[in-house]
Amino acid sequence: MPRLELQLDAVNVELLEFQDKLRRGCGVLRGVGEVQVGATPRRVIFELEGVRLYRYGCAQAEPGATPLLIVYALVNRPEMADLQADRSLIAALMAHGFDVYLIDWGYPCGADRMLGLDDYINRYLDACVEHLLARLARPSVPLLGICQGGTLSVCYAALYPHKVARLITTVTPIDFFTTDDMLSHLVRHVDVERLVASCGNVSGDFLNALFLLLKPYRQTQQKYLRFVEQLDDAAAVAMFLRMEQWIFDSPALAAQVASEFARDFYQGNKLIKGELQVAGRSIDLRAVTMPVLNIYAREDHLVPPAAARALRDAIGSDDYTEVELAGGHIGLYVGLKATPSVSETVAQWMARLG
Amino acid sequence: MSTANEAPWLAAWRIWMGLAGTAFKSPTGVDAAAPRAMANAGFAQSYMDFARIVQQILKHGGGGNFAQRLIGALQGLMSKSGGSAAGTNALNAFLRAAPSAALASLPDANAGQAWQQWTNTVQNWSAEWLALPSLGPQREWQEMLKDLQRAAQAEQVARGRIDEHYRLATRTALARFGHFLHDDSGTPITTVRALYDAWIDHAEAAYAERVMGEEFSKEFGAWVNAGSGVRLVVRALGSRVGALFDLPGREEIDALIARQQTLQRELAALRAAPAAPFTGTPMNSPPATSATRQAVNASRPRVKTATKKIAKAPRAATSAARKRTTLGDEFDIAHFLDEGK
Repeated sequence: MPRLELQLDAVNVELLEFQDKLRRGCGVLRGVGEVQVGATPRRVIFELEGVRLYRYGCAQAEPGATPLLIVYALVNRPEMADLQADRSLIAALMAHGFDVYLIDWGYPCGADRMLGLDDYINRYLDACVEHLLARLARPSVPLLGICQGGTLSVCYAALYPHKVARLITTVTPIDFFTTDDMLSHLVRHVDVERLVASCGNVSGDFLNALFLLLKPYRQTQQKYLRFVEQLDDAAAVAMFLRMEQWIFDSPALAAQVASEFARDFYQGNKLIKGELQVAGRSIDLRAVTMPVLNIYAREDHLVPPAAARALRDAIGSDDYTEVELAGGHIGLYVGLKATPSVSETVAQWMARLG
Repeated sequence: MSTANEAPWLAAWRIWMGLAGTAFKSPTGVDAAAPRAMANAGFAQSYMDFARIVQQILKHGGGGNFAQRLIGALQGLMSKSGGSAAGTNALNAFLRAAPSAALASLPDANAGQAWQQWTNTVQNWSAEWLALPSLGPQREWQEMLKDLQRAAQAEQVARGRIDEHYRLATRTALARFGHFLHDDSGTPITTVRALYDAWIDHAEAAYAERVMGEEFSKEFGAWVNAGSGVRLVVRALGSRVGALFDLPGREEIDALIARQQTLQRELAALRAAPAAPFTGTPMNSPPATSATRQAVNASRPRVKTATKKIAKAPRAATSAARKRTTLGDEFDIAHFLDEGK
């Protein structure tokens, strides 16, 4: 049978339907108006130099509710974990009975250009954990890291294992030299010191361009064609617009941390090699001895599964669980493909530990 | 038809959208019988108008060869009645041939384009200027402008190498897509959308293959680094001009930021060790965990009263900072969403 089986009439109908959808969709777009990301009520319980610690939910935590501190990446905004009510990792975790906290790193400005890994891990992350420990009168708290936030959480858990009750990493890069890691491949020969010397903080626009380069045809063309196909569905349009708002609302990366992260992780792969030092202290992953749950996405183009799975052999924990879920880097949290979902996986694992 | 003085792309868009306008006079949407009727009532003409505009655009963009084949194929299509077997065969034949036609229309790497010739001419002039020694009272300025010229040229060369990679990736994608369309062993493609998705799959695969090569990685790095070089020279020039007006340059501001960061880190050390008198902490000191805190305290010299007085000021500041940093319930999500965007 020939590969191409297009019928002229069918093609005409298809093209006309597409145009019709586009035309009607313009009306839907006008009706949707502005969208807002972030669905779950939250309040700031601690703030330090622009870094905010949120607690989600209005009510007091249920007695016995397990606290969970979410550590998001420095790139992009943490609202991805709470995009809208029915696509919210945070809301789902709360429904499972967790008392959810989240660190918002804020928007680094020019004056923050010298913030480095030391500041983010030893100062900000530690201050948030310390605040939470004092507030909850606990010796340690479970951490849930997302993407780069997972990498920071792993570093933190290695430096302060006594403060981390359990460690959950999701789509977290650990080995930055896997053969299918395009981002690492692109960054490998960039002189990042020179880059930040010339532009200061690495802008969100630059980072977005870099991410778009990973799948240029899909992310700049096919994605919008699919959007047109959904244009007559107001809910789908709103969801798409929230994703767009989230994706392109990109904070800059402070110059020093950008330089350190690119040099030590993407170019040196020092974390997995045991060569990473933060403020003169070695990050020894064997010090990560608490129970660890490592969740990664099967179709992740940003953090390939192998890059995340490398955690297994690097840490000192005897209680390590690894879960592969369907979906991509973002779809894992906002898509409907992952069954069980991230929140269900986390809840089951935490329940098992008791 | 396009109106006089109308930009070709605008005319193309207007006609393309007009197709739907003429097609859907019925508010109920697509009528199954519509395509054939439209083909007889001006739809074909609209297609032809669209194709002619596309031809104009492609001619200007260097794709004249492809445009000729496109228009020829569309003429062949429109000469046959919509829905006939001949029309369908012509459509599929055209689509099968399209990748190789597009491939043939891609310019070669060293094609003698007018733009390239112009660029070469400018580069020659520039090379002559760069070869001249700088002299006179404005010597330093001449040197900086030459630095800028050299950096811009280096960036242009590096960008050209990346463009060449993209061109080769596109060639590979088109060639493979052409083979794919002629290979009758797989799942048949019955919709334009499926055809488009198949193209995207091939394009992404060819792109990824090239980008993941070591050569691309090095040249991508070289391109980004060359861009950094341009920005550094521009910044140096800007600082020099700014200094004439007593405006602070990057170096001054960076020095201030470095001092501020040092102070913030020292403040953090104070917070971690509130009971100890503070005598300063190196910028990259380790965090004051209980172990390091004890070590720091043990190594600190006994301080005199005067030092204690000095140390009290930052402690008061710390206390105030603590009050500032622990906020109440008035911060709800709506407030922050408004503030943060």
